[in-house]
Amino acid sequence: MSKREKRPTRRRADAANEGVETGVQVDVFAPEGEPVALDIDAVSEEQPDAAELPAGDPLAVDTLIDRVHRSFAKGRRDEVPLKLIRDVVESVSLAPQVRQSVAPRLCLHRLRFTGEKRLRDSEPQAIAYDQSFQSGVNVVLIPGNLVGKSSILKTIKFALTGDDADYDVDVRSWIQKVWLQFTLNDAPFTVHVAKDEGGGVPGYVSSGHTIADIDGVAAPATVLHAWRVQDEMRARLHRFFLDALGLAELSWTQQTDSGAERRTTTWRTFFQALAIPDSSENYLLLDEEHSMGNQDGLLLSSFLGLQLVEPLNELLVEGGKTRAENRSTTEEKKRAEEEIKSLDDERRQVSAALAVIDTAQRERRAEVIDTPDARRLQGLNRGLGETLAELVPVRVRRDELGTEVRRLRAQARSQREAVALELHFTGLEVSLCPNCDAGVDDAAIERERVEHHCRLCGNSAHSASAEDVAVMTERAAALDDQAAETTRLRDSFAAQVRDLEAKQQQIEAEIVSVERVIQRGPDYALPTADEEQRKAALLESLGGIRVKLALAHAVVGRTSEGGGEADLRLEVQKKLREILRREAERMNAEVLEHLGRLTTEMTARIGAHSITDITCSPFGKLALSKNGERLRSFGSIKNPGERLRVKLSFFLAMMRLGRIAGAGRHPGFLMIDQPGSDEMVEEDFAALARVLREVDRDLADELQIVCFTARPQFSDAAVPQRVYGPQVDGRFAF
Amino acid sequence: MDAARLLLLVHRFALEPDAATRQLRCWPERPVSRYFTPEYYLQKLDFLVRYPRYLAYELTELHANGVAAALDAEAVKADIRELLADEEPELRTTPFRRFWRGAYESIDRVEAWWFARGLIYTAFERRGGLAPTIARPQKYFFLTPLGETTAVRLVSEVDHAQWYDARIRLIHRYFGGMSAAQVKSLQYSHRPYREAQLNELIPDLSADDIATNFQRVFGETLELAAHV
Repeated sequence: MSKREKRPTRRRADAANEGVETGVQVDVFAPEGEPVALDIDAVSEEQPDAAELPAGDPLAVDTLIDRVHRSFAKGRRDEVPLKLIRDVVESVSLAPQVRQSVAPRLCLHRLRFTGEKRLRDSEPQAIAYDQSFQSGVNVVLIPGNLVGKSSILKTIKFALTGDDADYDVDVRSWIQKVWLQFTLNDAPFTVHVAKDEGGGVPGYVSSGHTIADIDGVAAPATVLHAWRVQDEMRARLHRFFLDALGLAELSWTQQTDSGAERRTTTWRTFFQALAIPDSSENYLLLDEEHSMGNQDGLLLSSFLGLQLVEPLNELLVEGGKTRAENRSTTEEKKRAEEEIKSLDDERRQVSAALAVIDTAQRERRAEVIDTPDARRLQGLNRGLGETLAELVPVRVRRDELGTEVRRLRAQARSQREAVALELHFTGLEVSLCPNCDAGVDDAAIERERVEHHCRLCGNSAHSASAEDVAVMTERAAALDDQAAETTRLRDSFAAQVRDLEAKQQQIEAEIVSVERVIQRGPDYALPTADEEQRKAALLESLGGIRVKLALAHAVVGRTSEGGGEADLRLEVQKKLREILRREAERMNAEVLEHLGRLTTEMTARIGAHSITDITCSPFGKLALSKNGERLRSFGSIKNPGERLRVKLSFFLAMMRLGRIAGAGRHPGFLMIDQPGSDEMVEEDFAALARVLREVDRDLADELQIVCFTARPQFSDAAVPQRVYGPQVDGRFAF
Repeated sequence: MDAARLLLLVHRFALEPDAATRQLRCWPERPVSRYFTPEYYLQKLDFLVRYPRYLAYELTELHANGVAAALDAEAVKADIRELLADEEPELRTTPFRRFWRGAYESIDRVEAWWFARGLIYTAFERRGGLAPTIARPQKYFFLTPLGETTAVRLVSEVDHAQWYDARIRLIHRYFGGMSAAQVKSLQYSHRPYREAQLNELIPDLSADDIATNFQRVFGETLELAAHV
């Protein structure tokens, strides 16, 4: 890696690329090509003196905590809790990856797929493609377009990643079963996938090379992974290859509607470093769709085997999340404050509407109560109430007295009736004994007359019947007197009742008259049904507004309290990242030097002589210089052929780095679809083929490159036994 | 009073004896003119005398049910209005006690009073002939010629008795063609009568009951005095 002089600060990176910090030596490309140079001195407030740096493992937790704490200005150190720094330091995995061995090498051995090709206006044709591959450069050379070359590459990609999005729709439906035999560091494996009628894609990864169907696997114990649907296939292959190649799942943040979300780099994204698709010369490693969140940097860092990639990436992700959360907290607070303002306005409107209703009711009540007629009506109603209250008990008393009179008169009548009958029956002689049924003799009758002994029973007989009659008559008279007295009393009450009823009728008539005059009664002052309904709705609305206001105020209060801690955490993360970046630079210096050397060598061999420098930051950000001038981006290379050469150089350098122990992690496998664009001149194309042939000569045992091309000149890129032609009709791949 | 009132009832409702009746074992040896039976019939008739409101209600029902004696609506309405006029229900209602089979009061003393004065003899006739039976014997009231003349003289000489006579004549006019059982069943149709507790006074009907029924049957309002 070439050293660069210290450059003055230009500007800070934007939030999305804040992790893309370069120091003194290396400039940086932002994804959009904006060069951003950061002077580390401008980031931290105060650098600790070198003499203050503790000795020992610079990545030990306590050492890092101390270094981060010291990186704050002395005046601020008391504000930064050591516990917070420890939380941040312990949240990242700092164990350096000591790689003694070479990265596992991926080499394809055999591709076989079957199906049925269905073209319009022709009979379906059975597909039975079977092709072996070898280490070194392999060329699938099939002249013509739409003959299936790219479909072979896409099938290999499908088998290795589970991703079939690149297929043409018709081709996807043709291919039913695929077997891909490969080795990883000479250990054989087979991926098999089939398509069932339900849309599933059952398959497996097994150790060993086989062409068995799912149900026909000879030794089920060899099956390492199995699946039934495509999502599961992708997940299983992701796990298999990441583990086999020793690649880490690197995370990055993506801003979504619900806030910052953590994403992990998938095997399918890693796979982009193993293929150069057709017309991909506009980008170096990842297309725009996959390059968000610095994924290309992460990819590169992983394949280059850079140290501290993971902790640096974790800090970047956490910082992004914290910033996003902080931003959302700030935004949340702002939204809550705006909502408070809006709710206050709404509350004022509702209160005003309630006041209008209250005012109208109050005015109506005043009309009813305060005018002379209204007051008179009030008085009449009051008088009516009093009259009725007086009338009721008098009426009851009158009725009671009437009942008493009738009772007394009935008693008097009964007495007089008894008297009359007594008198009448006095003349009737008792002549028979009811007991003996015998006549009464004359002697008994005489005895009764003289001695006053009953002729029947012999007891003393009273002859005072006249007195009895007199008593009864007197009693009847007394009852009549009492009845008369009671009648008089009743009549006086009846007179009172009549007077009161007359008064009641008079008042009622007057009320009607007054109401007619003022044309409304007391009901006018009462709330109408419509008013009650509207008032209820407004009060309910007011209640809801009050609840929302309380919640919004709570959000403002909460966000005001929590904002400070988030900012401090961000600062700690940034300082730790700076420290780790410096360590990463130191630890990765040798690898990056290798990369630079290899790339320079490859660019020279390929013919991209104008590229004078390629460097890479610990974050995987590449920097190119052309003829000594810094390039803004890969796209700044105008010539497509030159871009392809630079790209190819870089990929080859990456692949070769993977063959160095303790260096890169690239598995040494590459597919190139349609190398060379239409604009590439014949000489350059031939030169490219020669370069590949030289690569094959020098590195056939270390690498495998499979090219898919229609251009016969590319047959020079490989030895003849590794140039494969069409398998159907001399024209089609399959 | 009871003896006089019931004498007038027996006098109005007694029947001429036929040959079969004269053959009754309980037929008195002393001279009798007519007879009346059974006792409960006398009690029910007395109930109608003593409860003018019930009588007014029943007259309405007789007309509503098309009984021959009550077909003349105008006559019935006039009689009802007279029954309810002049505080009569309050003056003339004499409460009756309820016994097992409805309105019933013991008239043993009345029977003894009648017997002692030779006005009415009472006797029991066993039902079902000579054969043993658990049926209660039937009471017969035998009106003597003295009883006949006493009843006539009572009405002509005592004003109160004239009122009873007029009431009993009205009852006889409407209910004389009905059997004793039919008269009894009429009273049981009234809930207050039916639900009166044993030995309690049977409650009277209300003025509204009579007016409502009158309105229902005749389609006219029954003007009731305040006291009714």
